[in-house]
Amino acid sequence: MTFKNTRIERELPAEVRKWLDEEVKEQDERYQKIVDEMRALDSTRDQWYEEFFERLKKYGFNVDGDQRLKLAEEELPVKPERDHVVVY
Amino acid sequence: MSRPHIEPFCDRDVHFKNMALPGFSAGYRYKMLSLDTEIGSCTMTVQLDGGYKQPPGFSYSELEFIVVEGSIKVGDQECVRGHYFFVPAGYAMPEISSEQGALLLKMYNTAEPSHVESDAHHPLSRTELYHDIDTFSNITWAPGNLVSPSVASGCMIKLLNFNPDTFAMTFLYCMTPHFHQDNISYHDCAEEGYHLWGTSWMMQFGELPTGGYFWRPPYINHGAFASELGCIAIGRTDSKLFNHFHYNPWSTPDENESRSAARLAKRDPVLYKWCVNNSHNHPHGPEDFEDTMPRRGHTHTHADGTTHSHD
Repeated sequence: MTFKNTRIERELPAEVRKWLDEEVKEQDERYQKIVDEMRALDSTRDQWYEEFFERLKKYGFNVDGDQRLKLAEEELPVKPERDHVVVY
Repeated sequence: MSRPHIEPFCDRDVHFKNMALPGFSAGYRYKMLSLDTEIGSCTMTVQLDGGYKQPPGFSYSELEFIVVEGSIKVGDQECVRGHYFFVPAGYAMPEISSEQGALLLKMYNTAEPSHVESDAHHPLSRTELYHDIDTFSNITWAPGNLVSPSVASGCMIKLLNFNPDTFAMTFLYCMTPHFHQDNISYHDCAEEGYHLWGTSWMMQFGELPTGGYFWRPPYINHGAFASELGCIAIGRTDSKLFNHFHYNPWSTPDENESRSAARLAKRDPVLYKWCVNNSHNHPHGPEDFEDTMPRRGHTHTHADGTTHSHD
């Protein structure tokens, strides 16, 4: 990342590999918890989306900086049939 | 880079752990925020207990860190909240200590955390890249419209680090009270953020409070945005930050990526055609002759392993 991408190669000691394996396992658990929490927010989020669309119609969409463009009802997207997730 | 999408996460919700890796002194505790499962690079909140001392030494990884709370002494320099460091791999830092304790955000960019006691830099270290600054006192806030299309008024930045090759950057950003921006954004780069203070809201994820964190891979929708009382955060990208704004909350990362490519094809059609035609689309990127051309006074290595100088 910022990453000037400086890195000095070395052989990883066994205790470092063990630490990494444990951290990866814990990260998997944290990730799953986030996915579950975000799934629990689905109905609230649907309401936020509708409020967002109302603001786009009333005040406009931020195209660039404070420049706003009002959208008509017919320009708004249709919710697809597929499952909707926000964490990938 | 291979870190999963961690968003939202708040470090206040988990406990500190003692650092078990070799080289770190007692009194160094951490909370893991995100970790690259391939190379071990990671971002951690670190608590240095009062009386902590780390002897001089270097890391095999490039490292960035900022003082979030408390203060540390780096050599003879007292560094307080908001002090930022960019430390190239192999750069030997002087002794680091904290009399009363400190909270740090540490970002190991290119490998797992390590500390090797040494008074001297590693011979491979690019020491000229080191820099540090008191970001709260010695940099002024700039409008967020450095890029176009830009964020709305009320979101400002302080640039801390910039990679001229990739345009990757590290920056502080703030949102003023009652900031709001009604669009959905995604980027062609990964983005990371940590709330030093305050709460912001995003339409997909809800509120992100003090200690709130995200690691967001490219092309993932985020926004609309708001902050009732304001916030200050540190953010990073791993390449150029371009704001692809839209208003379809149901678009997927694949669709967003395709849209980015479509926009490139419209904006730079000749370059786009070159990239997709004649097998030029190598995943590692095409050759940049400025990186490979023989230069007077430089030693270079041929494919057969022989090396010579153009002096």
